Amino acid sequence: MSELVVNQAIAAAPKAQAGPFVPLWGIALDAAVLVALIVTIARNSVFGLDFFHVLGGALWISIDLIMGFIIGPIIRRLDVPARMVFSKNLMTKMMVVVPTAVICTLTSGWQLARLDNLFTTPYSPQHGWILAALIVVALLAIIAYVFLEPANIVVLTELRKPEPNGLLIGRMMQRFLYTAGILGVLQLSMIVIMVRLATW
Amino acid sequence: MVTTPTPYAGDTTRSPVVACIVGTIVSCILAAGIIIVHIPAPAPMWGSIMWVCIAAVLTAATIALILRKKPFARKRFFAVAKWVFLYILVLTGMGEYVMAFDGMRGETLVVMTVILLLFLVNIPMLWGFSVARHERTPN
Repeated sequence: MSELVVNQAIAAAPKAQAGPFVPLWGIALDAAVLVALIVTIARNSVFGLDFFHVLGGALWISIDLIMGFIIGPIIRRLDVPARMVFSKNLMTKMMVVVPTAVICTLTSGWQLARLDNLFTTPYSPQHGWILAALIVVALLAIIAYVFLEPANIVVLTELRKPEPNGLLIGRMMQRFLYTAGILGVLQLSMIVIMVRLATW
Repeated sequence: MVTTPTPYAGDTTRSPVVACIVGTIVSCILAAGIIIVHIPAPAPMWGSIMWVCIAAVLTAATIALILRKKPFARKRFFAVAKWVFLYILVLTGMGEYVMAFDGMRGETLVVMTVILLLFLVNIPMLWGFSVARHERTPN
């Protein structure tokens, strides 16, 4: 029965389309941001590194929290056609913003830690907190690269086919939303670690 | 008419390919973690090298498993993997740039570079396989 409902919804949804997953303006924007990040690292600009770390981190954490705890539950309550149209638009934008935000946050954060001598002072009191941050980042990376992004790509690919597999899309969306929730919880622990380090 | 046909090779759950790639990623993170937790002191490299070797073996196993998989949507696999490769190339390139910029040299740099290379190979394979495994059997 649910398969029938999903199939009817797919039939009513917008049909397959060609062209790139990520809009070209998005790729250009990402490239410009990455060039600015490289220049900032090369110049050892503390202001620039702080800017990239705070902006990237705020974007990354906010997106994970909003996806996990606000958008996720809303999507689960939408009817299937609305869910598919929403997912298609949302996932495309996420492909533009999230990878670049992650690269900016991690790279500038590492450089800031180096400039703050957190890697050269033996057994500094912050050492444990830095390690905790790295462990959370490792968990975030595993979950994002192994579960969340593949689900995202499968949904995008399936939605572009002339006859999408509704059951597969439903399963992958569930996976995407659950893993986004787990990432949200991990990001809350990251906020605690970062606030502790910033107020040391 | 919308259908839900059988996926390729019946390999949509509990795939050994995914298990090998997850094993590789975890091994790489452990290898890098051993180096990072010892900073600023030099890390004993044998632990990292052991995990990198495990990751390399798992990567070889993954490639062999994918090559032997028939039927398999190779076209779809490469269509996804090439763009993911480009993205991970940027990511790992930034990592390599930062490490070289920070003055990392010698054995540590070699191990970290190999870890990044393993990421560069495995993430595109994982994402490409995730899509290709759900391609339908041709009617």
